[in-house]
Parts: sequence; structure tokens; C-alpha cells
Amino acid sequence: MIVFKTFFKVLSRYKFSMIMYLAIALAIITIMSGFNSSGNASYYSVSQGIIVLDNDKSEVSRGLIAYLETINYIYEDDYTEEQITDMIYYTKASNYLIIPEGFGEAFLSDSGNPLKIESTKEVDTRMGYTVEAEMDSYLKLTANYMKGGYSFSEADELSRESLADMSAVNMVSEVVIQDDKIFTVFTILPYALLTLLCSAVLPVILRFGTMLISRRTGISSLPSVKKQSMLALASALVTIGMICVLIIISSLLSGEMLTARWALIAIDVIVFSMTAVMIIIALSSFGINPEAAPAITNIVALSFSFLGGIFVPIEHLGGTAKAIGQFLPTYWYSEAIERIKSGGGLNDIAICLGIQLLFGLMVMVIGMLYGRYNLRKAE
Amino acid sequence: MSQTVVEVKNLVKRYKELIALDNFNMKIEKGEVFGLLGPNGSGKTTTINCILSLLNYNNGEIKVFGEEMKNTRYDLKKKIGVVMQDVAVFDELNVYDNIDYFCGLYIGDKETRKKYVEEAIEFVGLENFKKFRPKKLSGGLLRRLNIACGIAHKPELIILDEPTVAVDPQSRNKILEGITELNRKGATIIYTSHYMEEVEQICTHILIMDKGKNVAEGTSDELKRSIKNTENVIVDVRNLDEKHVEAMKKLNHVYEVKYMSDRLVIKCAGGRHNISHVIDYFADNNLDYDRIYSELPTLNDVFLEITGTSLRDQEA
Repeated sequence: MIVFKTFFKVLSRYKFSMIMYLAIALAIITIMSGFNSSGNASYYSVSQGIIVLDNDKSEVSRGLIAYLETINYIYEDDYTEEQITDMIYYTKASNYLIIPEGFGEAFLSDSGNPLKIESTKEVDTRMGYTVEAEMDSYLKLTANYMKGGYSFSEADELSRESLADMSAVNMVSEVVIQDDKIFTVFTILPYALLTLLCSAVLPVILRFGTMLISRRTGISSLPSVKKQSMLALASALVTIGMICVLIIISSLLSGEMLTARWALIAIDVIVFSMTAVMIIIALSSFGINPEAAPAITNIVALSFSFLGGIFVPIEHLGGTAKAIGQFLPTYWYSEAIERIKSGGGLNDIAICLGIQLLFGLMVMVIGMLYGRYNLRKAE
Repeated sequence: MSQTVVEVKNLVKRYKELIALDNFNMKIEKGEVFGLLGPNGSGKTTTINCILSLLNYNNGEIKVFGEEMKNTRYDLKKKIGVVMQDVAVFDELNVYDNIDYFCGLYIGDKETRKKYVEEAIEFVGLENFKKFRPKKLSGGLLRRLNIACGIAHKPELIILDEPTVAVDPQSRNKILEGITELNRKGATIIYTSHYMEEVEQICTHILIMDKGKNVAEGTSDELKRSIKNTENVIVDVRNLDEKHVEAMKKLNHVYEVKYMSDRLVIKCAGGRHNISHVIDYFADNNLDYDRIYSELPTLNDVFLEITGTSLRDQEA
């Protein structure tokens, strides 16, 4: 029991940094969830840039562009292909729309079956699909009004009014706000968990693992397996405590607990925590000085959070950052949250959970192999 | 009847090309203060690490308390206390908690441990520093804490690996007195050092190591008697001509004369009045000197004669 008790005695020396990082995480969660609860403002803040090439220049195409312009920003200049690629890559524009010649004529004659508008967008982003959904809603609604005997200009006006009302109803709905809040709050949780583990548990494990302490303990009559078990048990207890505290705080902040999707998110958090512990074990094998823990906390927590879509949505990241991010467990944690948000179940997030665990196992094995190599080298 | 506490037979430890221990042999009897003397890199710490099963060795046999020592012999480890060369304590814990932790690795019972920890603190004189963290302690006090951590569980065999490195004279004396006291209470001590004076002062049996080999062993007197050198006459003299150095080599019982940094060292083998002969030579030749005195050979002389180099030369 002495190792177990000493673990907590040493840990108590890091309580200040634990409190500090917990406060930082809570502040971030509160601020982020506060932004999200501002209703309509948040809706308009996600307007997209759209590059439009109107080869038709008909009343219908102008009506469609005018409608899209009420929500988004329209670029109608002559852009080169390279410029268009850059604008989409740097997320200045989400879509490049080409309205074909004869589009308006086909729309009016076929009453709602126009020629296809070519839409180029970046794959795996929500923004591109949102614009297409807006376009689709407008055209279908206008076609329906026209079937009811309205002229195009009347149908256009009625559609805009209807779509504007629908948006307002959706955005001010309490349920929608709450929906976003639970996801926002829990998305930031890995940052809190990583900072707490790196700033508190890591230095304690590193302290026990320093060459001198380790050797001094190794020559004692306490079997090494017993020592390691006590360290693992103490680390596990601390981690479980942290998870519980963070889940409770996050649930209170989001105002949702014990629902089906809450349970799925909790599973995601637990799996991520296991991965985080494996990362900590790996880091402790590298013989790092415990004094370096604050620097490691910042490097690991910030890089994992930024590249994994914790602070910034994945679709807002640049190409390279996104490519790197896919190798991090935080990315798959966020992806699981996104899938739960889209109504996904356990089967849908299983792959994300699996990849997180796989990452943890891989890093832990590398760390342990390096530790063993170092031990041999020291001999 | 004497009881062997540690027995090392033909121990070989290689680090790739380097042979750290070359068929090394050692036998330590119960109640001894066994001094392991040798320059840095001679293999002292490697020997200790092999005895403690911290290092695997290539060949040989190690027995502790008559039984083969292995990494998993926790029953044997329980009887051993180790004070390592480098201070191994938790910076986050205070003096009491540090000793409590290391004692707790051997002693499970809380009450017994509390008593032992208090006794260890008293033994090393840290009563007024119980609540101090290691960073607040001076180098000497830190060494004392290191010793307390190693001996708190009252081991039968105590291994002290250079415990006085970088320690002030006051703390050094306190440590040496403590080691003698532990021995008086029944503990067998293995004391490694490259400080000859310390080894001479406290050790009842001395083994001199060099390049991984046992080059000589015995009591301090036995070792000194085993060499040719019986007396060193030292003269502090300035600007001594080379011809006088050569002339003094011809004096009776003198076998070596060295003149360096205004100091003349005349090594003698046998003879009773060697210093008188040197004083007479200086008087006969009207030579002035600042100081003249005679010294018995030290362990350094023993080492020098056996290995051809001095302990201090090698450290430099």
C-alpha cells in the first residue's frame, strides 16, 4: 500500500496545476457553449461563400442567386480554375455553382425539373451540402407554388418568405439550442482530460519512474509487479475520478443527462480517457524529467485539440492539418461526436472508438519498447 | 565462528568491448566494515549493482547470506539496505514522508514503521527538519536523508556507495560516526569510496580494486606491510638542484626520490633513522629548507605500488 499512498501524496503537490487546468477547461467550455446558445446569431454566422457562374442569366437563375445571397455571400466575378480551387481550399467559398444555359426555360416548362446545376465542393464538409440543401429547398418550393398557379415572381417571393420563417422557427426552438450545447460542451472535454492527466498524473508516474527512484525501489523487497500494480491502480482511480467530475460538470452545463445520446457521448469520453491513459503511459516510458510536465501538457493538449477538431471544427482546418489530424485520437473522438449529432448509434461510432483505442495501444507499445531499449542501453 | 555475508566468485561483467569486472572475487564476513577502494571506473559500483541484481553479469557467482542472489530473492533483499551514490528521494515529499516511503518498501506494519522512521531520523540528526522538503536541505543534510532512507528498515547488510561525495567536513564526520555506530549495533557494512582516509578510518577490512580486478586486500596495516615502502620523508624546499636529487637516491634505504612543485618526496624501504640521514645531507651541503617531516605509507602508496599509478592521478 505504501506505493499507492505515496502516489496520492506526490499527486497532492500538483493540485494547483490540476485546479488551474480544470478552471481553464471550464472557462473554455462555458465560453464555447455561451456562443452556441445565442440562437439566430449563430445561424447567420455560418453563412457560406459561393462562387456562381450563371450561364443562363434568366429570371429563374437570378431569382435563385438572389435567394442564396440572402443567406450567403456570392462571388460572381470571372475566376480562373486555380483561383476557384484556392477559394474552396481556404474555405473562402464552400461551393462553385455552374448554372447551365437554358436552366430557367427548363424550370418553367417542366414545372420543377430544371437542368442540373453543377456544384463543386470540398468533400467531407457540411458547408457544401448545406448550400445544396438551401438551393434544393428553394427550387422545390418555388416549383410547388408555381404548380398552385402562381407566377414565377410570386412563387419566388412566397418561397423566400416561407424559407425565412422556417429558419426562424428552427433556430429559436429550445430543443435545437440544447442539442448544440451538449455537443459543444462534450467536444471540448478531451482538452480538459488531457491537460489534467498530463499536468497531474504524468509527473507523478514520471517521478516514480526516474532512474534513481526506480532503482532504489527496485532493490527493495517489494516485488516489481506489486509496485506497478499499485501505480496502475492509483492512476486508474485518479483518471476515473477525473472522468466522473468532467462528465458531471459537462452534463450540468449542457443540461442533459442519462439520455441515449448522452450515454453514447459518455462511451466516447470513456474510450478517449483510456486512450489518454495509454498516451500517458507511453510518455512516461521516455524517461522525461517530471519538471517538464507543464511543457508536455501544453504541447500534447493543444496540438491534439487543435488538430483533432476540439477547438476548431475539422472542416475549418487546412489540408495538411486535417491530414495530420486523422492520425490523432481527438479527431476520432470529434468524429464520433459528429456522428452522434447526426443521429448515429453505437454501430456508427464503433469505428471511431476502435481507432482511438488502436492509437492508444500503438503509442503505448512504442513507448514500452523504447523504455525497454533504454533500460538495456543503460545496462 | 565467522559467517560469510557476501561471497563473490569469479565475477565477469562486460560492456561490449570493455571488461568492467574481470574474474573478481570478494568475501565479506559478518560484522565487518568492508571497504571497497578504487579509483573512479575501477568497478566498485558495478560490483555493488551486480550484488544487488540491478545488473546482469556474464559469468561468476554471487551469494548473499549463503544463498544465491537473484532479482526475485525478496527475502534476501529485505535484509539489505542500500545508500546509493546519488541521492534518490522524492522532491515532492518531506523528510519524514521520504523515509516512511523507503522504509515502507520493506516494513508493512504501520506502527513498526513509524517507530523505525523516528529512529532513523534521530540517528542521522534530522529531527529539526522532518517537515522540510529535500530542496530546502543543504548538501550534507540531503546525504543524511539519503542514508536514513537506506537504513530505516534496520537491515543486516548495509551497502554505502560513496555516501560522502560532495559533503562538508561536519556532515562527513557525522556520516562516518553513524556508519561506525551501525556496525556496533551489528550491521555488516560494505563501504565503497575513493577517499582513502575515510576507508582507513572506518574499515576493518579493505579491498583495493583496479580495472575490475581485486588487486589487494586485508586490513589497513596488512596492506601497508605488504609493500616495499615503509616511510616517506618529505621536504619543502625551493630551487633544489637536480644533482642533489640524484645524490639523495644514493642514501641508505632510499629507493625513489621525486622533486615536484618545491616538494621533495623521498621513499624509503626499511631503515630506522631515514629522516636523520636526509637532515644530515641538507646540513652537509648548506641547503636551506622550509619544513621536513616523515610519513608512514598511506593506502595511496599501497595502490601506487601495486598498480603503478596513484588513486588521485586516475581521478584527475
